[in-house]
Amino acid sequence: MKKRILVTGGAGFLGSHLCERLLNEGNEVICVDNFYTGTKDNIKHLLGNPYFELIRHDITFPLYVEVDEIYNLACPASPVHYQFDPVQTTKTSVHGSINMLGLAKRLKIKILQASTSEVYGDPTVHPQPETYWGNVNPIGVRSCYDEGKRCAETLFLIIIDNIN
Amino acid sequence: MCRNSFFDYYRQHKLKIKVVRIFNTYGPRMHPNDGRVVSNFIVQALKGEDITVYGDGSQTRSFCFVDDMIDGIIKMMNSDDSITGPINLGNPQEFTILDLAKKVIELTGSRSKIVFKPLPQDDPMQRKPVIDLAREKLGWQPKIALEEGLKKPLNILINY
Repeated sequence: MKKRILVTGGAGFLGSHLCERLLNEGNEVICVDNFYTGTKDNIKHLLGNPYFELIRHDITFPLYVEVDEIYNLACPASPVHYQFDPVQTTKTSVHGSINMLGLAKRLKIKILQASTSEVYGDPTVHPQPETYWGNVNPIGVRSCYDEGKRCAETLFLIIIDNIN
Repeated sequence: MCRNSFFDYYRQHKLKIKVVRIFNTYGPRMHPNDGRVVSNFIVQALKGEDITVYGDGSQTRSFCFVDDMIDGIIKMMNSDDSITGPINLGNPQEFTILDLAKKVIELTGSRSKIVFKPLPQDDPMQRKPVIDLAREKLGWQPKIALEEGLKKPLNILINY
């Protein structure tokens, strides 16, 4: 069944591969990116596809589109990039998740959050199972990313309880 | 109590959530200058520059090829509504950073030398996912080994 799918961070490394795959599977894709680290080069081969739509948008601001599913991948992921503007990095994970969860709630649809192994920090348990709570320095140079992603997980998993 | 309210929410609102924890991933379209270890090493090797290893290179990482990662992400999205995660996605094949540097030199036939620099603050010493949940719930596991996958982004990065 053909779906209309929103991919945030769709012009990034993983996002562009995901957009491509979803299109190849016969879906419509709406790619949202603010081009902070994503690039048009990553998606230029998709721009001629009538089922691919590009929106320049920063997900720390609300977005209203009609879609069937959301993949929330937006956030700079390399230390060099995410440490350049740490406040924006945290906002992208936290405000971005709030906005995307709000959209998913309004549309009553499925939403996937791209979290990260960085939630385990400098792990003292090896290898890392999902049950491990992690070892993250909350005020270190990596914390803007790690804690932002941890908070996004919290938002995703508490939204259900919160609403009831 | 928690689980009950969770399922009530499904029935009332039909919002479905999925969380995946993505471990190190590499492949074409990685930014060549973003400071991530795989792209760093490849770019340095191709330019014949010294390959910078932070610390003594004994810290470990597990690298997943992008095609495998995309499979896992899509499988998670399409999994049963009861599966919310978080679920680890990554390649459990573990390498030291020094191993990786040597592999990249070998694959590129580079004359680059390995140089050691101090470890940055809070750099994790070890990373390796347990992917039993992904195997069991999603029927997913990576298929592409590091040696195989490394040859692919090489072709792309050469063009930079």
